[in-house]
Amino acid sequence: MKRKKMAYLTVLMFLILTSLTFPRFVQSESRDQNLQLLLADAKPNSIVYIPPGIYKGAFTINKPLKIMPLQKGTVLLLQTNDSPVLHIKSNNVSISDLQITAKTGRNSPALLVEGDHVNLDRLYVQTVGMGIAFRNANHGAVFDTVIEWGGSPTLPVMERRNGIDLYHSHDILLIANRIQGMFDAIYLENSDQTVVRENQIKSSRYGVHCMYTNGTVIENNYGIANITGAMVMAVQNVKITNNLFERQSENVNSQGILLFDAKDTVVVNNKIEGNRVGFYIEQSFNNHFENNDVLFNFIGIQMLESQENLFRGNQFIGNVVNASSRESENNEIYGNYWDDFQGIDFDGDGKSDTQYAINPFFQGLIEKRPAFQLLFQSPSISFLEDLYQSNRSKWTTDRSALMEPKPVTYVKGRSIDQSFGAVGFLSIIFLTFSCLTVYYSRRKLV
Amino acid sequence: MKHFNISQRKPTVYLAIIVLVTVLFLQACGIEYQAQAINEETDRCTVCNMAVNDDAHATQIATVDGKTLKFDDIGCMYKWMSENDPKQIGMAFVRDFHDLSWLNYEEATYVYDATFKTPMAYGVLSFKDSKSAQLYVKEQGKGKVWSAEELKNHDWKVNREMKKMHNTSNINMEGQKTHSQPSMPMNDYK
Repeated sequence: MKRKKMAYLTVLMFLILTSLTFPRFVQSESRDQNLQLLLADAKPNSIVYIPPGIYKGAFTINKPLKIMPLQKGTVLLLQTNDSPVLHIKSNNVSISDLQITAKTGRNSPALLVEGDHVNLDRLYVQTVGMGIAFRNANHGAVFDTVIEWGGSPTLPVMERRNGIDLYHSHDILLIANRIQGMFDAIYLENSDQTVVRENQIKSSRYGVHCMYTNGTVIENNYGIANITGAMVMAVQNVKITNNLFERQSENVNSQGILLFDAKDTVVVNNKIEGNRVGFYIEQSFNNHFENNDVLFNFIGIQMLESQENLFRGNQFIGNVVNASSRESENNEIYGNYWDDFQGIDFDGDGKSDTQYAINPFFQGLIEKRPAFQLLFQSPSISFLEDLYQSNRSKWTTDRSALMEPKPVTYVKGRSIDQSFGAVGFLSIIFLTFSCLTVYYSRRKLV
Repeated sequence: MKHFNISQRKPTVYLAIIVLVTVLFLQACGIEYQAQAINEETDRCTVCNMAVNDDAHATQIATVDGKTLKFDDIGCMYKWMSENDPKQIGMAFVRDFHDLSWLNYEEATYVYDATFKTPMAYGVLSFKDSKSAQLYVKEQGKGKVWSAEELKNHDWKVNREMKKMHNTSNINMEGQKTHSQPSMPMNDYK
């Protein structure tokens, strides 16, 4: 009797949990026209509630509207051609809690935004093209949205498209989004004053890619297993703070943060861990690097042709090589901790009275002959580096390196897998019921 | 026992040997530069460090000392050319926009428009002949067609100059942000 009860209870639990877990879409192929009619009939500035269902096609929004499903998790918009699933042409549009699947338009974004003050909130986008594109659209926002690659998992990321792509779009907020498996997860071109905050980015080419931007804020983001966490190129006044970029090491050219042609940029309190190169800095001037923890990378910091930058309070710990540098003079470097440096502190102020100088010999060598990278850290190169002392006054040098490390900056850990909580919860429940079933159903051994 | 007797060989064999030796000699004397395939996993732009995609924008230079320098944008290749000794260049290659075949950059035809999206925003595309270049301009409704010689006079400005950035977005004395909006086709989201 007990056994029967348990079996019924288990089946009942299974049905309840599966009905809670999976979205309840209602197949309704004729509704694609109805949705466009619903949008057309709505009065400007009204709220449009979409009934549950799967809506196929491409839909255009030409007036200020607030669009949401009648019931959360019940509306799926499905792409059927090469056009964006949602094309927002109007200003003041707000869309929330929709699932959008775009698997036929390789050359189009799932959502195309061309109006100002467009807010996208809690969307779930699966795409084989671009995720969300802003074009000449200002003051918009994307919150709590998931964007995932929806095509073959074997297609290299180099052949995929961008997750969120801004072009000539200013003052956009991109906050708490989760982007996975795209080309550039967040791509900003000619778009100023963008705020990229608390996003989680995984397995994409570049996590955040800035090109010709001004005043971008990149803060509290988490990037893992991308080729580069933040690729910051030809920018001014960018603020990169409190980010954690780790395990960007699969590709031979991967790095935590790359700055190329960056000016007046502030890089503070970031944790760069387990990458091939932590900071890669080239042709960048007048930037400020402070209190960053650069841990367990292959090369901690690589600096080429960069001048007038300030490095202060950074920690380089556990890297195979803490620093390499070439043609980078006139940088203000002091008060950093280098774990491979044995300094001497005469006056007891916690800072070395001897300098930590970065030998440019190997960088210069591989610039001329890249194949010599094979000799990295070999005894012969170390010997030659010891011999090479010319122009020492122009080497990149920390004039007063710290003798002891500071406590490593705590950057809040984040889980990239949004479904882990639900899956974990379900797993625990099923495991419990399985154990109980086995316990009550077991035969007594004679 | 059979003895090797060179005088018994047929004249065609001698001829074949002479031709082979001549070809090998000529190959040794004259260097023929070949474009290398793009490896997206490992290749990065010599100038800007971005990954080089195996697409129509990839370019490369074969140097006289046997190195191959790869670039993600024609503009990056021209930047390298302007900063380095031209004697180092064995041959420079660009790609046909449509079939991706490698072309000698001096024999290609170019199309420029500031709004064309290229990896580093230089906005220059390459074609194997002027006919396909003109057709592309006609299809897009914009762009200038240039020969390689005309391209040398190009100022290589990216579609947004950093100096201009100060003007396009800044905070004025009253604390309000101001922007200028460049024109851009509404459907250019590719």
